[in-house]
Amino acid sequence: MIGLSQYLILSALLFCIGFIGAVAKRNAIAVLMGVELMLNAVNLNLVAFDRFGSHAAPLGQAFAVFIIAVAAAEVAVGLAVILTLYRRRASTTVDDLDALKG
Amino acid sequence: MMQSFLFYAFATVIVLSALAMVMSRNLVHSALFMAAAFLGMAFIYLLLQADYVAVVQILVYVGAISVLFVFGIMLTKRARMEDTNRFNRYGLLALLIGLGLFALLARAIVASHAVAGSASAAGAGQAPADGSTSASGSAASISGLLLGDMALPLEASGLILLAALTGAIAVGKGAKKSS
Repeated sequence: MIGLSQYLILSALLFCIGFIGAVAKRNAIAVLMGVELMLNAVNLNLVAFDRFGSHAAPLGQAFAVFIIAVAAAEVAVGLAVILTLYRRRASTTVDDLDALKG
Repeated sequence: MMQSFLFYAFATVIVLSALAMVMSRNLVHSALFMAAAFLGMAFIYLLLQADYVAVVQILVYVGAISVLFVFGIMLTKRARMEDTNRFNRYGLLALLIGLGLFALLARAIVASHAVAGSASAAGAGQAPADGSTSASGSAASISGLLLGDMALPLEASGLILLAALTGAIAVGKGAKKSS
């Protein structure tokens, strides 16, 4: 029987994979992909708690829809920033973006 | 029984695609594996009887965000794609921290009484819940919630999308004219 804990374990696993991708990648686009995977893991958590909780109204699903909207906005702005950086520096490597370094 | 088989099948697909996304050295392959993981997540949402979220997941993540990533990859072009997605020098450290975080989270989830209690409660109340979830998981009840109690947050998220749209255009087209 699949209970809440199986969904939470899957979500934790996805979150950690996304974390590794977000922290350990060189390319800024790959970093954004890792962040997206982490957001997806959080969504899975919300929907799972909504399914196994006792609320009549689907509050968790509504939260997940909001997070999807914010994630879409984040990807649009993030990719625009990466495109501008690529145009200026001809590179999307995160290590090269050290203009604020003292 | 069918449900647990489907869950483990889709969970395996999702985790393998996510791992392939992180491990792949070709950025285009990474984007494809990311789309596969998002698609599997939509089926997991269907198993959780959240059909509206599943459809939104397919529409937004698989349909829009993956295509946006592919466009971003194509617009930042390189001579060859093979070696575009390398790990940085913190790869081993990040792997250790990620594994430790997962061990911590899994330990907490398994040991938690709240999780176990709610799971058993949901299992006991499955029969009445199943009758009502056809209504509570559907688009009708979630739209009633979004346009009723959550009307203001819904408008705020619309404002965020508008701001992100104009911001992405303003940033993406370059700020040369204004300076």
